[in-house]
Amino acid sequence: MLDRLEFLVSEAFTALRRNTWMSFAAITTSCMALFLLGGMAFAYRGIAGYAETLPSKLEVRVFLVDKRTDFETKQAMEQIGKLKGVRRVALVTKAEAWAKLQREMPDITKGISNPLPDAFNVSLSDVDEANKVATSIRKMPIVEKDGVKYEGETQALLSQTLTLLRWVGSALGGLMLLTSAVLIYNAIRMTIVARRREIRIMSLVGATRSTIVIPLLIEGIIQGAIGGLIASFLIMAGHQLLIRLMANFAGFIRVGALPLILVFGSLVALGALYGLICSMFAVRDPRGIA
Amino acid sequence: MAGVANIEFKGVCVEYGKYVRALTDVSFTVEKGEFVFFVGRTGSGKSTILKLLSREVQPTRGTVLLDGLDVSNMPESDVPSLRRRMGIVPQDFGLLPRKKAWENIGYAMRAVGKRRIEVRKAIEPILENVNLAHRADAFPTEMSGGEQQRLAIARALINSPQLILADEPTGNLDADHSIEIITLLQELNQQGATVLVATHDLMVLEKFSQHRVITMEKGQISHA
Repeated sequence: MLDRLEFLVSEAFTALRRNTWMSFAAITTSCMALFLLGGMAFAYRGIAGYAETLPSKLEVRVFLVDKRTDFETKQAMEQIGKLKGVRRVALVTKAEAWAKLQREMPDITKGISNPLPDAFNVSLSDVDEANKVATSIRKMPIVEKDGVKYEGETQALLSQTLTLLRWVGSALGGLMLLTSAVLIYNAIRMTIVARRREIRIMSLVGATRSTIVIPLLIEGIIQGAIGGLIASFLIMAGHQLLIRLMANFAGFIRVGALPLILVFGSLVALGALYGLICSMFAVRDPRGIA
Repeated sequence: MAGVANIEFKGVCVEYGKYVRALTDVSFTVEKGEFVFFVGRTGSGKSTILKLLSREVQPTRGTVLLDGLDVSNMPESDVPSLRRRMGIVPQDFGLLPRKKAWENIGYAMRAVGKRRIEVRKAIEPILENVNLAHRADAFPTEMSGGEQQRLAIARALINSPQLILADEPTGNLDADHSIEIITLLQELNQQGATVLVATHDLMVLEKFSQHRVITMEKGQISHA
């Protein structure tokens, strides 16, 4: 068994050696395709992860009119609490808010009377529901005109970024995958042409189809896997670069750690699978194989 | 080389497209252990007969039987085992120029699933059988035409075949080497193998006139 495997693998490496430039082209293109797809996937994953943590950071501030009863305030709190996407509602009185502001900005607040209204702090459990929650609250009679404030822009920006990443990643990655599919296919067909003498001899002496085809499939797998491996290193380098760049823009988005095993494992496996599929197409047509 | 090689062609036609007919209604039999020359001009159909037996070509009509087995309707998956029962010597030798003589044999043996240790044991006797043991380390480009042809025959012997198909084995050789090659095939025939040779070499036919000759003309048998 090992003896046989050694023969088949050595045949594949012989083909790779003979077809150096075509193999190089196939490896680099599949590498770029996997780099784009993998890079986009991991960027998407990072931003989506950040978006998941956003609801706890994102609060809707609701300023209330002065003329209202305690019953109306309690009733409004109950109604808001029942809205979809709302996790918690808390009443912050004008006195509490002013005391906090005085602590944080003593110079600005010194010598003036409290101008702040009472307010609700509404915590969200789902960022996507922020607009609907705000619209529902605005309709309430105890809410000031234009008295609903939240960071809708942040949510919209994140949503747009995720959609853009999805489209750009899919389009560019798909295009590169298609190109590398053609190149891997061509590399295997070139191997068949370059090795037609060996393939003919194998066929004449009675080698089975699998003996002829398996080295060609191994060749495709190796090309795809090497492409995936190089793409993993590129993503790792890109991640390091991103960390250094983002260090200059402190605060808003932190670059998370890269799951190295997942990156290397998935891209090498994906590349190998991809190479296998492409080479299976290349050897499917028996006219090229004696 | 024990075994039976009994060949029967029944009304075999081979057409390539609508207008090219390689064989027309060819019928003949070859008994086990026979040595048969197929003679004719280029394009007369003699090579096609050999390719029908090795299933490189399939008949448009008719039947090709080998030991009673219908080769023409055999499933594709059975073709490798069919070819292991025969030794095929192609017209152009089909040697690998970057491999030494023994490696050419070893490569073919590995391709049919022989283990490395089996290959090591078998190579020397096979090369001795064709008087090439002393040239085991030579590359094909360092060998004469006759030696190259003997190496091609040696490779055809790796499966101990009951049937040897040689397509123009003297086509690229001078008279002396041609006689040497046919003599070698004759020796293999005397060891029990059925040998079919396609040739247009009249000198060879005169020299080995004791063997059966089937003459082909325009895809038909003109004399058997």
